[in-house]
Amino acid sequence: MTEENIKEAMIKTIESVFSDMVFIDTLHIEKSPENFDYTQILYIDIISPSNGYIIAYLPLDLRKTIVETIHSTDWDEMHASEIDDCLLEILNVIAGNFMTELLGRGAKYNISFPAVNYDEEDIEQLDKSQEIYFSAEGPIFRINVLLNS
Amino acid sequence: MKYKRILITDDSATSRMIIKRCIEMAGFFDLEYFEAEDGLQGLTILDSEKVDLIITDLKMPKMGGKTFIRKLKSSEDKKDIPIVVVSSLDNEILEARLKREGVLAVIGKPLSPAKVFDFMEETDD
Amino acid sequence: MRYDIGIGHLKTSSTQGDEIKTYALGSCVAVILYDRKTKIAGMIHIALPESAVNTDKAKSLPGYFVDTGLPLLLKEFKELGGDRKTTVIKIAGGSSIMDENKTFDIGKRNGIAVKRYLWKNGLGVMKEDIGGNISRTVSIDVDTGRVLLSNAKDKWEI
Repeated sequence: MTEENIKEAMIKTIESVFSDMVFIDTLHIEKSPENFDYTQILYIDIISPSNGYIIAYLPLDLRKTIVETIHSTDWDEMHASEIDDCLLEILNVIAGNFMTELLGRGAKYNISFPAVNYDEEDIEQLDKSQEIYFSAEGPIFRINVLLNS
Repeated sequence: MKYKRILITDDSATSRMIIKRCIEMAGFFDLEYFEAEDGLQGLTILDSEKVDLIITDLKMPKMGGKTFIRKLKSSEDKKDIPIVVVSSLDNEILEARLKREGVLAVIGKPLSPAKVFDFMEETDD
Repeated sequence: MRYDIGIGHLKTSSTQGDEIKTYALGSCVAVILYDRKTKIAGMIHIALPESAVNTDKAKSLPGYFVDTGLPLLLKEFKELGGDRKTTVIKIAGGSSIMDENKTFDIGKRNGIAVKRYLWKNGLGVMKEDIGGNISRTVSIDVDTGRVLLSNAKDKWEI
């Protein structure tokens, strides 16, 4: 399990989950954008076979597009809890699909419940994770992934 | 379609909504749904409501899908209700184990109308 | 009678014996509707996801784009008596072809845009044959609702 494997599996997972669940065409961006703004991060722990995490940094305009598409409702008409639940379910699906993509369908793994996190400082080993940027038909978002071997 | 009353057990309200929408989009309308956030709530609902299909997630707080399924299969009056697992934990070993325990089908998330349509075509007689 | 539809065109029919057909879908996507109860069929041959890139074209040929073409197809289908409750939706095409600036895959984006539009309108794709690098000719038989695909080498059904 190399950093390259992990990155490839994440790129494939994001592209397929976004196209099948959120109906947005995503493309991996090799170069980090100069200005990347976000207000909220979504976090999920990977427990086994090795520990790590996946973090999604989604800008507000993209969060709106995602939630409005999935629920087919106006963002303003939705409760904060519904919005969080929607985004966390997507992260949950990303995490499951990522582990299957990385380890194959024959491997066992365990992940935690996803959570909304407002403070990056609480996350350990953030500097060790890989930053992967995507374009979602315009808006840019980032996924950080770490899997300790 | 032979299923008219369906229990959906999933801790995410979004996921329950997606499941209901996909069933409808696959052409199955006017069904009655019961919703539970975990296996415990699911069992409580089943004590008072009769359903003819259970769709359950695996990873849920309080009581996860594996325990829920075991409890259903060991209950005299609930053991024959067909169970479909819809989960992002897509794994061959787990799928084989669940099927051995009597689960009708295991479908990976994200769910789609096409996946529901295929399942219904395969199981509807 | 057979109706051949070109890029950006659509056709609906409830006439028994009719066939609706479109040729050589590359990155374009055909959306095919069939009401199993009333035996009404519809098909559109869409080229691009969004009309915003060329509003003049969207006015003269709305079927060219997902966001202007699909509402027209759905409207015509409904007016002819098509009911969403008994309708099967299939899509074909969307082969992988990059846009002029090589920034995105038009075929993939077309397929996604179709599903997004349908999902927002409470509709979903039940069968699909999209992606890859092949050219697809697709037809629907109004009597049976059978959707046949073909290219130079093969014939198959979805």
